Parts: sequence; C-alpha cells; structure tokens
Amino acid sequence: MNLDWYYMARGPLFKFAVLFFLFGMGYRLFMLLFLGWKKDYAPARGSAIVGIVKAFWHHAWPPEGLREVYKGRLLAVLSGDIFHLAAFTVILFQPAHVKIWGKILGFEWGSLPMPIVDIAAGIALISLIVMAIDHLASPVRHLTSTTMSWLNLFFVFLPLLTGWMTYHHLWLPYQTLLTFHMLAVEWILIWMPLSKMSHFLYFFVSNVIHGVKFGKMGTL
Amino acid sequence: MSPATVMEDKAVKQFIKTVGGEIAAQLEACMRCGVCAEACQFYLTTGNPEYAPVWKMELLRRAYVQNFTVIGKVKTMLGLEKPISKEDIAHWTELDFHACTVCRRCSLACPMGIDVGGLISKVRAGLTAAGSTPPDLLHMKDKQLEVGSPNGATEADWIAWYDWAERERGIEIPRDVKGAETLVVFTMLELGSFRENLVYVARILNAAGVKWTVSPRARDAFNMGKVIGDKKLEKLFAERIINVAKELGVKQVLITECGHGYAALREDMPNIYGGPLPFEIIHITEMMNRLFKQGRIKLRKGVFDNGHRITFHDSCKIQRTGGLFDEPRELLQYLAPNSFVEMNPNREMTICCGGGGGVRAIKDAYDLRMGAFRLKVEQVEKAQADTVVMTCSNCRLQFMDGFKHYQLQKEAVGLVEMVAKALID
Repeated sequence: MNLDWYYMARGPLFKFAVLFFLFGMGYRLFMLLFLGWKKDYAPARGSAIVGIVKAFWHHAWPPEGLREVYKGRLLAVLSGDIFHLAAFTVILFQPAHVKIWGKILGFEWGSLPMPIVDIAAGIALISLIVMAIDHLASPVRHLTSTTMSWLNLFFVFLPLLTGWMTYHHLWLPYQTLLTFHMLAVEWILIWMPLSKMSHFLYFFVSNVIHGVKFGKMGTL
Repeated sequence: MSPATVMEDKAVKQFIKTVGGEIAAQLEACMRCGVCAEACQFYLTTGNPEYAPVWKMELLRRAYVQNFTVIGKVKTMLGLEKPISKEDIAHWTELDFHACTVCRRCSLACPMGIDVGGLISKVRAGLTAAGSTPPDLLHMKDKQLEVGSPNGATEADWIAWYDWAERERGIEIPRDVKGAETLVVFTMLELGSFRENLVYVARILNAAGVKWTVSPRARDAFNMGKVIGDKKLEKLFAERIINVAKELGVKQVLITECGHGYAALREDMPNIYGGPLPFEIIHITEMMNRLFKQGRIKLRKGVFDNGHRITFHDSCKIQRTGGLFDEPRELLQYLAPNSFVEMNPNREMTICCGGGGGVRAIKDAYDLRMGAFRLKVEQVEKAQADTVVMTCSNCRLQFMDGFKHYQLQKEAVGLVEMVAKALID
C-alpha cells in the first residue's frame, strides 16, 4: 500500500467519515423526532424517573427473575456485554485513540497501558467470534439473522483485527496495517448511520422510553 | 386490485399508521438477539424459534424497514426486500394470536428495553385490519357488538345474575343508582363461571360502607376490541361503561377480577380520548387493600392458615403492567401469614398462565396453552402450594383448565373470595 492511501486515510477520508457519521446520525435522530411522539395520558402509578434508572440499572445488575431469563441465552448476553465493555475500553483508552479524541474534542483523558488495551482487544475479538457462533447455534438467532447482521459483525471485526495486527506488527508492514485499520474505522463510521450499528444511539432512546412507560405503570 | 392485495395493503397501511417516534426508536434498537424468546412460555415449552417474540413482530419490522428507512426503500426497489404477502398474514395470525398472550414478559427481558409485547399487539392490529383475526375471536367480537358480552350473555342474563344474588343469597344488588360513589363492573367470564363473586364483592363493599351500584348497561369489562387490536371497537365497548359512569355521576369505576378490562379502561382509554377520564378506574385488588388499610373492612387474621400452602399468581395486566404487586400480598400475608409462599419468578417477571390475550378462547390453541401452562405447574409444584390465589378470572379459568389437564388436585381461587370469607361482620 503506498503512502497516498496512508495520508488519504489519515486526512480527508477520516474527515469525510466523521462528517458522514455526524450528519447521518443527525438525520436519523431528526427523522425519529419528525415521526411524532404521543403523550401518555394514563394515570401514573409509579415514577418515570425511577423507571429510567431501573431500566439502565437492570442491565448492569439484573434482578433475580431477569437473571433466570438471561441464563437461557447466556452466550448472547455475555458475549454482547463483554464485547461492548472491551471494545469501548479499546476505543476510549488506547493511547493513540486518546490523542485522536483529543484532537476532535479539544481535550484528552488518561489512557491505559497498551498491554491492557491489547487484552481488551483480544477479548472483544473473541466475543465477536462467540457472537458469530451464536448466530449459527441459536435457533432463534439463526432465524433472525440476515445478510446485514453478518455484515455488521464483519465490519466491526475488521477495525479490531487490523488494530490488533498493527500493534503486534503481524504479517504486513506497519504502515500498511495502520492504513487498513484506519480505512476499516472510516468504513464503520460511514456504515453506522446506514445500518443496525446505529443501535448504540437507539439503545438509550429505547431504554428511556421503556423506563418511562414501565415506571409510570408501577412495573419498575 | 385483487382481494389478496387489498388484504396485504390494509395490514401495511395499519402498520404505517402505527409507526411514530416511539415505535421507530424501538424497532431501530432491536438487534434481534432473541433473548426475549427465553421469556416466552410458548417458545420455552415448544422450542419453536418462530414463537420467539422478536419473530412475532417481524411483519411490523418489515413494514417499517420498507417504508421508513433509506436502505429499506432502496432494497425494496431492487427487489431485495420481501413484501408482506397474503401467506405471511395467515402465518403470523397463528404466531401472534395462538402463541402470544401479549403478557409483555418479553418486554421486561429485552436488553435493549424494547416493549416487544406492545409491538406484537400492533402486529395484531395490522392482522385484524387485514381481516385475518382467528374466527373464534371474531365470533366473540361479534357477540359483544350485538349483545354486549363476548360469550353472548345478554342484558337479561346479567339481570338474572343480579336477581339470583338477591333471591338466593339475600344480598341487594343496587342498580343504576344515581349519585352512587362507585360503579362496579364485572365481566361475563367472571359471572359466567364464578357468579358467587357478585356476592363476595357486594359483601366487601357493603361492609366498608361504600355507596355502590351496578348497571346492566355497563357491560362487559372484557373488551374484544383490545384483544384483536381494533381501537375503534375498544373505544365503543369501553364507552358502554364510561357513558353509564358519566350518567350516574360516579367517582370511581371498580373493575372486578378482570385484568383485561382494567387495562383497557385505565391504560388505553385516556390515550384514545387524549385526556384523563373524569373518574378513577380502580381494580378490586387495590380497592380491597385500600379499604383494609383505611380500617373500613375488618378481616380475621390468619384465617387461611389451615395447614395448606397458598401461593399467588401475578397476572399480566393487573400486576406486571398494572403495578399492583404489593396490594394482594399485603392481604395474603394478613390472611395466611404462615401459609403464604411465593412462586419464583414472581411480580414483574411472573410467568404468564398462557390463557390471556384471547388465547383461551381459541379452540385450536388448546395444546399450545396447555403446553405453556406446564411452566406454571412446575412453579406451583416447586412452591409446594395446594392453592393458587389470583385476581383475574381469565387466569383462574386457565388454572382450572390446566389443573384438570395435568390431573392435579390443586385449587385456583380468587382473592375476592378469600377476603369476603375473612370479613368480620
């Protein structure tokens, strides 16, 4: 891979991908608001605020009845949770990533030592493989899987794999691997607003709706 | 346009009409992980992946993707998206009506916070709009439209129940009393199978000094419009009660042991009207607890501590989505402090009895609902309970069917009956 691609990936392509991501997600959010929201007139038995807190808290610490349910899909639940924790550790605390965040946001935070980030990346990669196995092994997941869901897994796998390979200087020249890594990240930024990868945003919206609804009902 | 196309169009139109920001956000959040399947009694007892709640809402998802998303529209244009077909509608009618009670346990299990059960009820609405409602439910809907009750009970039948209570049990059943504080509304399920409940409710309210009335016109608490997902009908049936309540000037509408009617009036009607109702909708469970706490009814403590173990079944519409978890438990802990035991899981994660949402009325769904009830049997046996108490007549009938099916010598009892029997005159 020549230097042109390297500089393209570092500069204009990265800027384009970030802008595409921001405009794309902004558009998705605008469309969501534009679709209209109905007010709930049913009398409240409980608190919407308590509901929201519990909706998020139950993910971190599921109550007994919910734990029973999760046990049935332990592979899916654990691989999902562990993947997100590990991936965000890498995205937010890898030293070079912290520098990039600093350039974008104008401020930086402390990074984690590379051996820790390396382990996190490994865990994230393994979790993704487990998720892929779950797509095949679970009859329900198999039924609901589409080409898009496989593509999502693949597109998330790529930046993690190329980043990990770059750090370990595996098989290809460092600069080539880094270019691949940056291109993979840029592709994911573009892919996110176009696909289910945007669930990171809707996760919060959906759980707030859930918390308000079931909180008011007195369920949560 | 062929009738089949019209049918599919009607379903899709209904789905499009349904989609607002709230539904779109949930459909976008869904990663289709299938965790919800582990909360569904029909999936758990059959292992059929198509009974996973996420799959039951598939038609709504497809309609959304094809009509509201850029990628979906492009894929539809290129022929890469499968349009909803007549066969799909027939297939999902079985999935969403026979194998779903809309109990919403799946909603609480979803890691993304999606109200899966709520979305399935939107699919039911689309199927109904397409004219694909199970015939047994359609028959009940027609009966409610024609005579007032889904089982065909007429005004004369309801009056006969009131007369029976007065004649055989010597208790007055006040009718259409203007200025009464509380309008009591029963369901044909309850009076048809447990007519003593009329007497029990009357005794409790009389003991508390509540000025109450019934009205043969305010029937039936059961609402077939809600079951099949037809909002216009739901409103029509609910207004039969609301209009009488307004005319009599009551402060409260008391729904007896029916979860469904309670949810239709308390949760749905304010949203259909776009504002609060001019009176309180209260369930008998909450009413009994309130009267007890206010000291307006006196109960014999420990009266049901008779060596039998008693457990409580949380109903979907009264407890899980009605929030009345503590009210029945406080009463049971008073009536049977040493005999009352909990089933697990309970409260908001209670396992549905398998007979709600109209499933009990669908003859072809018998094997499915009895299969689903196996989970309840396991819970009851684990709790070593002889008696299961509940606050919904539909659940109670399902328990009775289920105990008979599994040849178990166990009893399904309504909380109203226990409280009435524990009254200190």
